Amino acid sequence: MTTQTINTAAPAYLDQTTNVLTDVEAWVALQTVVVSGSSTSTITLQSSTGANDWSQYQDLVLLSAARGDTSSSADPTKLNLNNDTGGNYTYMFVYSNGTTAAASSSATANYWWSDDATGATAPTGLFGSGILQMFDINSGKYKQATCQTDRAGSQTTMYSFTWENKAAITEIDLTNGGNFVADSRFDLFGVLPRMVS
Amino acid sequence: MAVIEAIETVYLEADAANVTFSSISGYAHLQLSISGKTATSGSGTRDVYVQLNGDTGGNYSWNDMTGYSSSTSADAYAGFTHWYLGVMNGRGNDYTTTSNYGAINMIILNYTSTNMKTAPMSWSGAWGSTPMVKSSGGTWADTSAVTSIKLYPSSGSFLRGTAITIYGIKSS
Repeated sequence: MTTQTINTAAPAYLDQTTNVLTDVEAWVALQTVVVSGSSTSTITLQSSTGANDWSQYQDLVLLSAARGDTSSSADPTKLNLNNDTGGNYTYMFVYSNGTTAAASSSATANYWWSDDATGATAPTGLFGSGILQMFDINSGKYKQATCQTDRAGSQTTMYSFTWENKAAITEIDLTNGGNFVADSRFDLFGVLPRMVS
Repeated sequence: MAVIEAIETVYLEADAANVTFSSISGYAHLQLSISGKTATSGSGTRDVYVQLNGDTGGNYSWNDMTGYSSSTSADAYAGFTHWYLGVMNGRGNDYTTTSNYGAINMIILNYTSTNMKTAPMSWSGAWGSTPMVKSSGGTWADTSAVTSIKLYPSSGSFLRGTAITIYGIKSS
């Protein structure tokens, strides 16, 4: 079970009476999902209307603080865009666990990661986290993202991601190896460009 | 007043040798978001350099850590004439298509301080024939307030389609 709030208010940068553009807060809170049960296997964030119409933003930023119920110390959150589950995702990452630094890459992945969530065998109360920034989401480019994650102090990772698709991003699906546990939280922000010359 | 305000967005409709931001007063910190690519063909990644206040002296230093294919590295640089901000792929060098642009995020903290040297934090990611992810932080050996920021590729020009926004972050 989740509680999902979506900001569909009129965009603050547009005066609703005069239709005049103005520059306001560049970061706009779009959606928040908080898990309140242990049976949530998929979390979907979609573009809709008002402030939550993603076509008006330059970048998207996703903040994740999550834990899964897979029997492992880690259960990182997988991220798919626009329902694409094909091998169109690439990644490059470097990580440190306090004693070792290592790197790895793939050009045919089926998803990105948005965090390094902990799993069922991690100490009680420990959640993993991540900050993911998706760049120029409405352009005709392949979509690039950068992400920094932390697994409850035991490992930190820095990612470079590409989604080999030129479509505008309109949906984000989040899954893990099983279910998200209570208090897992995801906050999505839209980042506006300069609106007034 | 907004806490984070988009000061200026540059979306290149033609190749450009550099992008300079000079109307940046009134904030506590600055942030740059870049989706960019260089117009230079040939092998190897193309780097993005930064100069502050038009300073071309050897006053820039930085440390970085890099993930490069399956290897890692850590390096330190001092006495350079620019900061190194990140990597972007050159045109014709992508192993798949020219639709691949690099992504960079950079924060310049306390940029108006005259009591200490301004220090940025930056990290970037790109994918090309050489996969690479990099994080770096640098120092500008100058006590002046930052009044302009010039971005330019290590070789060639920024490719059309490059998008750069500079944000100002207010304090309480």
